[in-house]
Amino acid sequence: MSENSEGGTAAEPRISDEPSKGLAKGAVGTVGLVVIGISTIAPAYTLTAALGPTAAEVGTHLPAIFLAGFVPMLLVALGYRELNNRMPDAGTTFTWSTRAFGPWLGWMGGWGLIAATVIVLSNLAAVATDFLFIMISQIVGDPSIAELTTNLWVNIPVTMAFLAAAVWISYRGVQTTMVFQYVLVAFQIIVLVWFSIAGFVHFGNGTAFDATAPSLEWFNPFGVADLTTFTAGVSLSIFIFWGWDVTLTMNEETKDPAKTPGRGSTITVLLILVLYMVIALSVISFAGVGTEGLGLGNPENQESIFAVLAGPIMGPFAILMSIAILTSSASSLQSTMVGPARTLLSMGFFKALPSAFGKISPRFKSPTVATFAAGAAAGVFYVVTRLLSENALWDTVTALGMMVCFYYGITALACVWWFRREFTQSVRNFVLMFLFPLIGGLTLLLMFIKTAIDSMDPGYGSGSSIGGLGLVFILGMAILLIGVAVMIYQAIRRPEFFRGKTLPMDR
Amino acid sequence: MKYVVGYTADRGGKLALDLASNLAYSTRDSADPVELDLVMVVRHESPFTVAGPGADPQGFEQILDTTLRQWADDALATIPAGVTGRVLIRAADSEAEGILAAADEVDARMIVVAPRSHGLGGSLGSVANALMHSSPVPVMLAVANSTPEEPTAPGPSRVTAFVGTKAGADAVAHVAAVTAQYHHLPLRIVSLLELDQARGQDAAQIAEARELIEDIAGRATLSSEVVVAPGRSLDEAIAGIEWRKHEIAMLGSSRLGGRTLFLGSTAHKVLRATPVPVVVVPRAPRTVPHASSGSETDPEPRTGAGSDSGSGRPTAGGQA
Repeated sequence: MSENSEGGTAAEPRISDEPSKGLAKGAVGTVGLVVIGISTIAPAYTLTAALGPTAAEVGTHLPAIFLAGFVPMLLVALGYRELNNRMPDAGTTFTWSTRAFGPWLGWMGGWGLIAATVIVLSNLAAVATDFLFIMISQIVGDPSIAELTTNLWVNIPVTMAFLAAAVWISYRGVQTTMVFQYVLVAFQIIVLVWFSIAGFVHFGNGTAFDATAPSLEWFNPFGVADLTTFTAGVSLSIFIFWGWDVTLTMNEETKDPAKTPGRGSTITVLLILVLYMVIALSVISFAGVGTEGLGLGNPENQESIFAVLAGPIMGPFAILMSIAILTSSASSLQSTMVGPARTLLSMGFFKALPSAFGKISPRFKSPTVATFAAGAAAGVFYVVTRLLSENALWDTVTALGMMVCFYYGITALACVWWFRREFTQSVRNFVLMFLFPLIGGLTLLLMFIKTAIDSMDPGYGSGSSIGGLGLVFILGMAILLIGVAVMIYQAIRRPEFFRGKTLPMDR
Repeated sequence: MKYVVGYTADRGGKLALDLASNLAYSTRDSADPVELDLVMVVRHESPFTVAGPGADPQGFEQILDTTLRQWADDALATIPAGVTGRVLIRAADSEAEGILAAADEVDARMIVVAPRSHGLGGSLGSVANALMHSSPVPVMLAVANSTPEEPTAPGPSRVTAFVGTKAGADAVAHVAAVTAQYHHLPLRIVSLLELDQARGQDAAQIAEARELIEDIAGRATLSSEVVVAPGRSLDEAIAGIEWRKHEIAMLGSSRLGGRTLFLGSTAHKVLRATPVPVVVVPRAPRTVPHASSGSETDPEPRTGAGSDSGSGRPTAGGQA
């Protein structure tokens, strides 16, 4: 009688699994991929955060800098795609650079990604908070409500609430439907186009604040005053394309993995470039780059440019811009939360961090400690920046640009190194595995160094400083040094990862 | 005979597994012992749930897979010798959907889950609630105060069916009878009467209840005992019932004590007040022929026929 059970035990495997369970295969077409790409970039949010600081650096050369910022992003993303195609089982800065360069550089690459995403989380939550109050003030017609966000006792708790909600949604693994995502993205684009057309109309009617006729010179990147300005501008504008590479690395999810990703990411970037150019032109021709009033160079306007300009340009419809930015930043908050959480998870899993970070929720199958840690880190970063800086959002975006340069640079060079024995095999390999990622990676790392040096100047960014050093420099270095300290601590306490036992170099 | 366990690698999952293991262990020498299929559900990811830089879907899935297999190994290690157990890892849109699909896939006769112990407002948590609303097979609820400490503890000693006075009682009584008959356990049929609102009708109600359950018990042709448990409230009615150690209670998914209640809150009350494992029987269980057919009290040939026929009976385990 009991043979029944014993026979069953021996005969069949005791675990029955489906490969690639969670991923939705073949579900995304070209249009879907473009929607995903635009949603990851979140143009309404990135523009409001980066347009002001970038214009403050480079003036009317905004379009040129936006274009220039895309080049290193493109070069690095192409290398990303090569790595992703070759190592599809594990693809992120931490695992790639560990496998190419070994544990120490890999660890710092992973830390750079976590730092960048955590910084952008804090910025997203803060922008969402600002526009929440702006929207409420527009609804009730009371401008004083929009000012509430400058009260730290209101601002910090609300920002923390946004972060907590994002952590909770991410932890519960709440899914977004296709229709919801399409609506969000379409709304965002419609509002941005509306805004730029309205800006041009004001310019044409002579009702612009500081009518500035567009000129071809705006597109000339060599017209920028000096290298410091140029670097600062490009490091800011990398941020506005950040996330685009996600479209390149989507494979199995697409209907035709051979064609959809290439087509989708190309269309995405063309649309985004056009959108950015049109808005940059419209904003400058309406407001100019002066440092007074609505001018883009006015430090008062740096926190979020659309908060200042939407009213004068769109009139009563400015509330649409508030809604677009609020939804854009809130949904981006969700999608951005995933990156640091999973990188922390991966680092915990491979014992590069305490193994608690490698825990997955039995109920929701999402990272637990890692998700909460990412949210908490973003909260701490925000509070520190908000208390230390005269203009937290501006400095946050600048620090973010620096971190993105750092980890993108490491990833691109990891690509070069990983493929070092293959790139001579064909012209295609030479270009995509060596030349492009090498140029892109070196450019970004040089930009990281240049930005770090420049940001020591107390006048850099918003002009906040501590002990004669620029706040952006202090924030950036503090983050990296904390990383080094944690890395050394872990290497002493649990050295398996650092001895190459859990995630060995494979070339 | 397959039981599906909705398994999560936490305290609730362990309760469900221990309870199911105990039932399976008590049938290890039977001709058709209970076999356990532990289901771990991974939710489908919508590609439109956009994930930003560093999200690394493939790398994450690799880590998730390794973790799931570790959980599976750990769970299988706790199943006592003599019991056949497997782990099914399945993707679905929700935990409950995954469990139901797996139950269908293996033609399970019972689903065992642990309700959320801190469900608010008498709720049992989304998974148990969803299962009780949509499961075609009986759902056994594992809670801390009624799950045996050890899977190898003695199996069930008696089956108790809670029946009301209205429609739906038949299904519960029937499943209970089948279970008791198959495992040679005594059967007890209890009617809960909530009497505070209709004092004048006490006598009539009790008579009605007695008539109904004697009818059911008569058809069950078992050594069955008929009890009417009155009380001013449901809690009071339940509190007056005596229990044996290692008993199994069954109740219908729609009505109890003659009054329509929200399923979750009734089940919650019974769960709280009942010191034995509780099985919630759907109103028309998929695997049970209609109760009025008369001769259904001899299920041996049909349950023995194996899992492919689909006409077998749900059973709640028992001692051979």
